[in-house]
Amino acid sequence: MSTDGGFFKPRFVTEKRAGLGEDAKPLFTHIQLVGSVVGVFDGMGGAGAILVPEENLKDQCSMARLASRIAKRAALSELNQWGKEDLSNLKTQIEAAITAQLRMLTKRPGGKGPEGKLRGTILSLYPTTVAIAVVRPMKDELRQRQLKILWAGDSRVYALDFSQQIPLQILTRDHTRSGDGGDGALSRFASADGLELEESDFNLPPSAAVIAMTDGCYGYMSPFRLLYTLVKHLVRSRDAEEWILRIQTDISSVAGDDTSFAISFGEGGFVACQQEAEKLLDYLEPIAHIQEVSPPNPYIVPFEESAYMELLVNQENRRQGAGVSTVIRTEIESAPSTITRVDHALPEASVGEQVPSVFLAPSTADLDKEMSSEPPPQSEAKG
Amino acid sequence: MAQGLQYHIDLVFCIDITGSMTPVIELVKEKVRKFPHDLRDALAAKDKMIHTLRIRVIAFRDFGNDTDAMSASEFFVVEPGTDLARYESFVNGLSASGGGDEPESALEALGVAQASAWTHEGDRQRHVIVVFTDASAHKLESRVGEAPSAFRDQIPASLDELTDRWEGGQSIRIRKAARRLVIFGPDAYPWNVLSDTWQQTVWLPSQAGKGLEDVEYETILKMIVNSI
Repeated sequence: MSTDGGFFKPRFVTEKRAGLGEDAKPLFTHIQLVGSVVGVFDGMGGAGAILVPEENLKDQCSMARLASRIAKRAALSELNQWGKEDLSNLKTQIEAAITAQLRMLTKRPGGKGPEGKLRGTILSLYPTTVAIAVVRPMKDELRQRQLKILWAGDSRVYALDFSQQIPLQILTRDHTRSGDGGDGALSRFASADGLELEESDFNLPPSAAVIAMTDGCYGYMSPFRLLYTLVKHLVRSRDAEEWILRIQTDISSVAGDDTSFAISFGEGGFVACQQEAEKLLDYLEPIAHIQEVSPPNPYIVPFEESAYMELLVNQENRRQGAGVSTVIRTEIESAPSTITRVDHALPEASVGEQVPSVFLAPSTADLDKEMSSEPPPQSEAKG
Repeated sequence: MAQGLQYHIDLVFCIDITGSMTPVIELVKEKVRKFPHDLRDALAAKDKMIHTLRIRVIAFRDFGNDTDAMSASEFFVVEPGTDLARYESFVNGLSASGGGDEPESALEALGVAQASAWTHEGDRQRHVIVVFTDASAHKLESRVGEAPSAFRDQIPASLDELTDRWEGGQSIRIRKAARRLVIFGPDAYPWNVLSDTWQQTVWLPSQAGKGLEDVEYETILKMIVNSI
């Protein structure tokens, strides 16, 4: 959790081993002409295990630990210097900036680790994931927001919007090798050998929050449990600061990894999010309170997932029976209530890459909304 | 919910027990024996929980030279320590001898290791093969049919086939996401090839005549831990 400069930033980073963590402190900033930015960077501990000199050249740390921090700094520096509204070339520039900085690390004395020692395809020079989301208002009467996502690896960007039939949606796809499954090796990531970011653009409803998180956050709990954790603590927290602290505690207590998380709230900020969450929690609680203790079986959908799907189907059936679906359709046509991908093709299940599943949740689109305002975040200091 | 994920780890040690390993075999055996404890401790330090650790040992010499060129154990459950005594007893029984010419039957051992009955249980598995050798290996293509009948159907006829199994894995139980190959071997065929071409591989080049020093053992252990 962070209160840098006296202004609370809704983000956290935790380390499984103090001082050895491989997640960088998340990016959370607002940059004039660019917009609000959240981002996470997860140094890859297996591929980047080799010890190298720290930046101070006195201590040692893993390539992975240094890579995530340097990649974040390079991206932030590029964003701070951007100076224009047009983001069309941002991907290329951030790719170049991160790669250049990681390459510089290899040129230091001992920057490639002990010579002649470990080799192999599992290893990489300063490997780290990257997931950056840039959000800014559109100049239209619907108050939509533009979202640009740049990412490589399995760090994710989600949209959290309780006005959606699917409140928590994964907007990125993990770059894991084909057939490797969820814990497979990554096919794309940043390293001193280069970086190719994937890019996606969306139009968001005004109420949608954007979350960037590393696999330590989502990898140790089911999609249902992740949504429930976010919603439960939203409802029970007095403010965003308490919420971040609560979810940090819950997530890090079950994670077998470092975790990092940053959120850019939508219109109405934390308060609007909280009000919408209350209604959803009523549906989630009964499922969450039943604990399945049987050992996991990859061929059987866990109880809480299947129970939740069933709830969704029943809800949808009830809504259609009450003629509510027509209302929802009308809203979609006339108001900014959907998340739409803009100018990049929908992700294909291309060879070598895995499309993450979208997590369904009940709609609260037919529930009244009450927005409140929150001051814009301040810029994050460099470094 | 459970605290984090629990790992089901299967590990196969392929150990060269030819005569040239004599100066270091006792050290290798000692490290292999204590490996379950060291791995458990190292993973615990990273807050990674082992649900089950099973270890199999494949000891090899040279099919073209030795009548007892290969012995392969079953998987021993060493965490929890159900089979720990049997595992240690098997390792203690290994002795270095034979081998003939310098290339050995390491690729055949790798084939047998690939064909192991790898676990698919639990929410996360790791299938790790660790090779200890001080020599290069005979080409599989030149030794077709020489393997003892007990292993013949597990050994591919070529390096390409062995590679396909590693990368494709359809004919064997090894999971692509779970597989790891750790090589402690000299800068010679096939180790300098596999380390460049096989996915999920790490190679710690050994020097001829030098064994497994503590610093190298620590490096290997760390590599395995980090890859899990």
